[in-house]
Amino acid sequence: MAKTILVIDDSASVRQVVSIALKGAGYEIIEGVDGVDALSKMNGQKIHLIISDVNMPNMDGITFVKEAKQLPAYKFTPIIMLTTVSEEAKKREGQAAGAKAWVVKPFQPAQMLAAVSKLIMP
Amino acid sequence: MEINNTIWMVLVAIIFWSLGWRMCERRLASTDPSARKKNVAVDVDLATKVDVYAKSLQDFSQQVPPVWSALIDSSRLQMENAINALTLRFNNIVNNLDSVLELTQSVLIESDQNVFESSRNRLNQVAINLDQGLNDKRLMLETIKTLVNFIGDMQGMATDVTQFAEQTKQLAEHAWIEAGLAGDAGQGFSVVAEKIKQLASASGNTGKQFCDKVNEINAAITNAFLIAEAASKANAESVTSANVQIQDVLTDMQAVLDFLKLANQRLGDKAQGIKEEVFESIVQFQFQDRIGQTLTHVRDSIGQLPQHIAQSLATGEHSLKPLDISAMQNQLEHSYTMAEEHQLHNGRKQAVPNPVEITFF
Repeated sequence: MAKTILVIDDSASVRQVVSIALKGAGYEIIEGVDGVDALSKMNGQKIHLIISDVNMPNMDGITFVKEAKQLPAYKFTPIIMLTTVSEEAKKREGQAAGAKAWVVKPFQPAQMLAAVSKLIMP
Repeated sequence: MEINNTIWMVLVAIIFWSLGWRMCERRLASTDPSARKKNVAVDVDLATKVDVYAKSLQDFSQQVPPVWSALIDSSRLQMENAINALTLRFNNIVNNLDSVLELTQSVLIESDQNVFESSRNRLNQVAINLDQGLNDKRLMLETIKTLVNFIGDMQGMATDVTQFAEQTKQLAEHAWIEAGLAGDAGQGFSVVAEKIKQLASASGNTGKQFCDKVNEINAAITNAFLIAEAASKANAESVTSANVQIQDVLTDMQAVLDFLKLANQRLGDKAQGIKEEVFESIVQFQFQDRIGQTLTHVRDSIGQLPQHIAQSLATGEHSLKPLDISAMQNQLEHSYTMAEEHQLHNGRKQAVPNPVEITFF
């Protein structure tokens, strides 16, 4: 059965790039446009990994990670932050919130896939 | 971002220029008591001008930067919408190419090859059936040949019967002569000999007729054999030709199938290449996200310009404060999220793109 990945980004083009790359590797994708939208779509369903932007309207990525980690179903779901932000302070903030990896845009699909396969249980 | 800095610098230059001019005029006026009265009038005039200028600066800050912001925002949104639409279309192209690849990889390799193999087997079976029919005809010919041999035997027997009848007739004639010589005692035997002669004649005729019939049958069978042999030869040639044609058709079909496979393979390779190119284009569209963020930072910074100018003018024309460029730049720098923004802010002409950066915690 295909693993499900939640991709959260306010940029449709970034969501598309991530989705195409991951679908090509056999993953199923759920898309969210920001933290609030993502939380409403999670709805207790099995999600094997989350990829989230940091700077988003309504609810930013760091807040989303904190909120998601409060939910029992997603407490141990690995989260990758995919962002243009490369500041160390922000990375530490993401790490403290519970993120497992920090990928700076623009990314290469092959490297994203490598990161995903490193964090998702086969 | 460079445009933004230029705007600030022009504004600051204008303010400093007007302040410097005003102070210079004041110093000149204070040295001449007779001109003091006149200076008062000049001060009032200058204050009026500064007020007008300050008002214009305030109007500028309230009217022009919002237009700049709106233009930047509009451009950013247009770009974002266009890139999103392009990404979706490119995504559709990738999906369609995936379908093409799926078709090219499955149809010819599986079903068409199976159809070809099935056709080959069926045509081979036709050839086998034709060969079997030919063998059956050969057996029939062998049987007819055996019949011809039987006819020869029958001809011999018919000839024997005729000869036996002739010999019997001669014996009967001889017996009849001897019976006549025997006189009255041989009269009865003479009748018997007469009857035997008649029977021998009848047997001879029957034997002759039988021989004729056998000859007719022999001729008919020989004719039938010749016809069957010719037909068999023609059939054998037809079957050989059919086999050759079947093999030719199969060879042609195999050639067509091989060509289709090759074309299919090339089509698949091309489709894969196009898909990779299109996908790479989609990957490049990530620039929109970065440019969008930079434009947002510039827009926000321009949005803060009225506030900075208002602070500069807040205490009136007698205590005009220079714009706090450092604070404005710090505020702008604080909004940056990308390394290249910092690079450009610090004077680099062109930002150096970062290598792909992945950090695992």
